[in-house]
Amino acid sequence: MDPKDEQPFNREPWRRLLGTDSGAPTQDMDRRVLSEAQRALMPRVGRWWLPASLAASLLLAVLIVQWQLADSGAPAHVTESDVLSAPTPIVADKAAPAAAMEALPKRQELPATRAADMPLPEVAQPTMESPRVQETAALADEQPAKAKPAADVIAPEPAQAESSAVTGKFHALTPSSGEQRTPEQWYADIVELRATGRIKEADAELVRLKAAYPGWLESHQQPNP
Amino acid sequence: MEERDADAQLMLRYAAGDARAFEELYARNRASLWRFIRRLVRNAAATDDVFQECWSRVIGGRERYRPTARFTTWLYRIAHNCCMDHWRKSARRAVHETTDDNAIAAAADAPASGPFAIAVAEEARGRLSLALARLPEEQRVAFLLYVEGGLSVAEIAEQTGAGVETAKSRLRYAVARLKEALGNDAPLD
Repeated sequence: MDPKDEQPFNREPWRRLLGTDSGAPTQDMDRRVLSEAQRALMPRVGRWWLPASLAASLLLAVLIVQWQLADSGAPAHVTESDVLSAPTPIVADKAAPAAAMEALPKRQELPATRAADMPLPEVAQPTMESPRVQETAALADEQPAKAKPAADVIAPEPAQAESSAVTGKFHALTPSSGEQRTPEQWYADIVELRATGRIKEADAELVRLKAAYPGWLESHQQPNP
Repeated sequence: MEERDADAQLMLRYAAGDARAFEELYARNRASLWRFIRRLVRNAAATDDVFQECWSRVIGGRERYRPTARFTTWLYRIAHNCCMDHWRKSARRAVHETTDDNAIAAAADAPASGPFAIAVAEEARGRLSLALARLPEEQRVAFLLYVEGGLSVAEIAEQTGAGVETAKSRLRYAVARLKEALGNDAPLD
């Protein structure tokens, strides 16, 4: 294209004439444009702040939700001291007396009040039966004398357990178990002990029977076995 | 040409993070760009909005700017696009504004009366503003892009979506009408 054709007329005189127009942007407009230009250069430094802060907020929210779920839903961590201090005998069958269930929840209610002080569970949480197994093992040595009556008691008294190991009979000869039997059954056991030659044990059981059921022998006119 | 290259260099420096370069670039182009927009949109409040929007696009496009063309070509292309966006938004109300409104606006821009020569110049400027306002939009855009923006005929054709001959024709018609309005005060070619 011919360069002369690109200039149909001289633009400079027209530009000067138009330039006499006093119209111009205000100072306020100048400030706004210049400040916007400066701001546009600054965010380069801080661009990483937005995604970083969003990620941190998200992580924090997830942690809070997990913490709250752990507090409200999961059972507390069972410590050894909890087991040892439990005053309840451990019952094997599902028809456990209400007395045992009253004592046990004392620890299970703790999560609502003590959960904040307890560590988060590190391993699979024990089921309703598994704490009993642990407690049974512990109570076998520590708590036989304090145990309350129950239908079937697993934990034997140490001395009785020793004798049971000798005879192979692991039943019914502990004071606690004796108290659960009827006096008639207890009396029959004593007779059996005496028949097998375990006289001392039979005498001791007899004393306990009399202590547990005073006057029963006389009222039922049972002879001393 | 050196000045145009200087504008491009300033823009490149600004894109590299030099805020002072933008201040200089703005100072060199602010008045002519504002007049260009004012004469196209013919509304004082809208002129401010379009003017600011135009510079916002310049600022936002600093990283994409390449000096393949003159800076003013790029700047006035943006300004023209901003004006067209304004017309679309306002349903082309500006086109239907009366020339009396424009004349009043031009008169408001005039400084206080002075000596006789200044008064004559002001009177000529007023007639020029009035004549510009009366031009068909296509001719006014072509004339302003040519005079204020410094665009070539080919660039005007590209910007307005018309052929080169059409753009050239619009410019000739526009100048002829303005000369007729100004009479003896019209610039000589």
